[in-house]
Amino acid sequence: MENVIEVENLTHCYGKRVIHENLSFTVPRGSIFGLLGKNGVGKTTLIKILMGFLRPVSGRCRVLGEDSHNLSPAARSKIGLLFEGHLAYEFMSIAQIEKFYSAHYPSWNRDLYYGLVDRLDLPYDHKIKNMSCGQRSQVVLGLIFAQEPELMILDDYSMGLDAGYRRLFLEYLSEYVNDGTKTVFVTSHIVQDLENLVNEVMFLDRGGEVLQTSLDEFMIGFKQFRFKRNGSANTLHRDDVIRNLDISGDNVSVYSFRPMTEVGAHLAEMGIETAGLEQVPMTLEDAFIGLTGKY
Amino acid sequence: MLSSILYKEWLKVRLFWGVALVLNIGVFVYLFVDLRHLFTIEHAEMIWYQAFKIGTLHYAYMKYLLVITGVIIGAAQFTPEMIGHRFRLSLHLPVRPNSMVLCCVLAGLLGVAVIGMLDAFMLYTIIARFFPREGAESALLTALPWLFSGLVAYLGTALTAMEPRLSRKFVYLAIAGGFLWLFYQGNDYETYNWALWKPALISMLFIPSVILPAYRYRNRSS
Repeated sequence: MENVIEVENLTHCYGKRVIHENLSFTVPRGSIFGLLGKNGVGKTTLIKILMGFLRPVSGRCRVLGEDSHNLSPAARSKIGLLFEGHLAYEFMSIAQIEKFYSAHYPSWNRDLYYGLVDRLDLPYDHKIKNMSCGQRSQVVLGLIFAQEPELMILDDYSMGLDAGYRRLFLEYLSEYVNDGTKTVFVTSHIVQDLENLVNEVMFLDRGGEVLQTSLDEFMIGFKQFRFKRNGSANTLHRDDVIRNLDISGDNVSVYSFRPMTEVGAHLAEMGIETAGLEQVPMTLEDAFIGLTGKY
Repeated sequence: MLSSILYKEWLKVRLFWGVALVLNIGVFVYLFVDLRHLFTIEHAEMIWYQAFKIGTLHYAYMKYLLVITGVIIGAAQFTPEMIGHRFRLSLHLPVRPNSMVLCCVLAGLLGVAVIGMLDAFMLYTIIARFFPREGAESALLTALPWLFSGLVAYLGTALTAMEPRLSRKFVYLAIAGGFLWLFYQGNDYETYNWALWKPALISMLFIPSVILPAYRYRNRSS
C-alpha cells in the first residue's frame, strides 16, 4: 500500500533536550492515523517537521512522495493543515477568508465551508478576531474541509470545541474518509474521540520512546489487571512484563501486553500477593493513561 | 493566486494605509495653510529671499513623513503574520514561498509608493501655487530622497519583522538605518540631483533580500 507519510530515523532536539530519536514510521494512504502522547512529547514538533516549518537535526521525512522540507505548491494544495490553536488570519471576516482560500484550491467546496460555518449563526462579515476560540475553530475546520485535501493533518482539532460540534466534526471526518483514498493524521487531547475514528495509532513518550500499532491490535493486546492492595505491592516496579502500574486507594492496577496467566505468574514470582486479580476492560483513554501514566 | 495574496495584504493594511494617507494629506494641508499664512504676514520679496538666497526649505517638515508611512505599513503588514507564527499559514499556501513573500512585499511597496506619488503631486501643486514653476520643480527634486527613504523604511521594517532571530533583527535595523542616513545627508536644495540614483539603486537590493528571513523562518531548528 502506498504511504503518504514516510519518516526515517528522524532525530530532533531543542538544545540538549532530545525530542525525537531515530523515529521511523509510515502512514498508509486511506488510513486515519492518531498521534497520541502527553504534553511536551513532541507531537506539534513532529507536525512542524512534516510540514517543513522546522528542520530536523537528522533523518528523512517524505510527504506525498516529496521531501517534507521542500514541498511543491502542488503537494501543499493536497494537504489540509490545521495548526495547533486553530491559527487563522484574524483580520479577515467569514466571507473574506473563504474568498481568499478558494482561489488557492482547485477542488474548493464552498458549500462544505458554509455548511459548517452557517451553524455559527453569525453574519458573513463577522471578523474572526471577534470570535470565541470555539467559533474560530469551526471556521478553520470548515476551511480545511472545503479544500477537499488528499491528506488532512490536524494538530489538536478538539481544542476549544464544545461536545456537540466535536461530534459533528467527527461525522464530517468519517464522511470525508469514506471513499478510502483520503488520509488523516490527527492529534487530540480528547483521546476518547479517536477511539471510533482512527485505525492506526502511534504513542509518543518522553525521551523519544514510540509505540506504533493498529488500534485493534492495541486494544486487544494491551490489558489492565487489578488486584487489592497489600503490603507486598510496595515492591512493584516496571519491567519487561509490567509496562506500567498505578496504585490508587485500595486497588493496584498493572498494565501489560502479556496475558493474565503470565502476568499473574510474574507477580507471584516477585512475591506479590494478587488476591482477586482480574482483567479490567479499558477505553482508549484508559489504555492511553495506562501506557503513558497520569503525569 | 497572487491576486488573492494581494487581496489578503490589502485587507490587512487598508485601515493603516488609510490612516497614513490621512496623515500625509494632513501634513500637506498644513503646508498649504502655513505658506498662505506666511505670504499674508511677510512681504513676497522677503519670502523669496528666505527661499532662494538663504535656502530655507519651507516644506522641511515633510522630511520624515514617508519614512513614518513606510514603517506604519510595513509593521501593519508583517506584525500580524509573525504574532503566533501565523506566517506558517502563508507558507503553507500552494504558492512558491519566494513568490508569496515577494508578492506581499511588492503589495506593501505599492501602498507606500502610491502615497509617495500623492505627496510629490501635493508638494508640486502647493509650491507651484505660491512660487514659480522652477521653485516647484526644485522642491520636488529636493524632496525626492525623502520620498525614496519611505520605500527603504518599509523594506527595512518588513525585513526586520520577518526575521525569526532577535539578534539579526537588530542587524537589519542597523542596515536599514544606515541606508536611511544616506538619504538625509543634505539640508540644501537639490543636494542629491546627480547622486540619488546610487543609494537608490543599492537600497533596492532590499527587495530580493526579504527572501532571506522567509527562508530562515522555514529552516529554523527551534
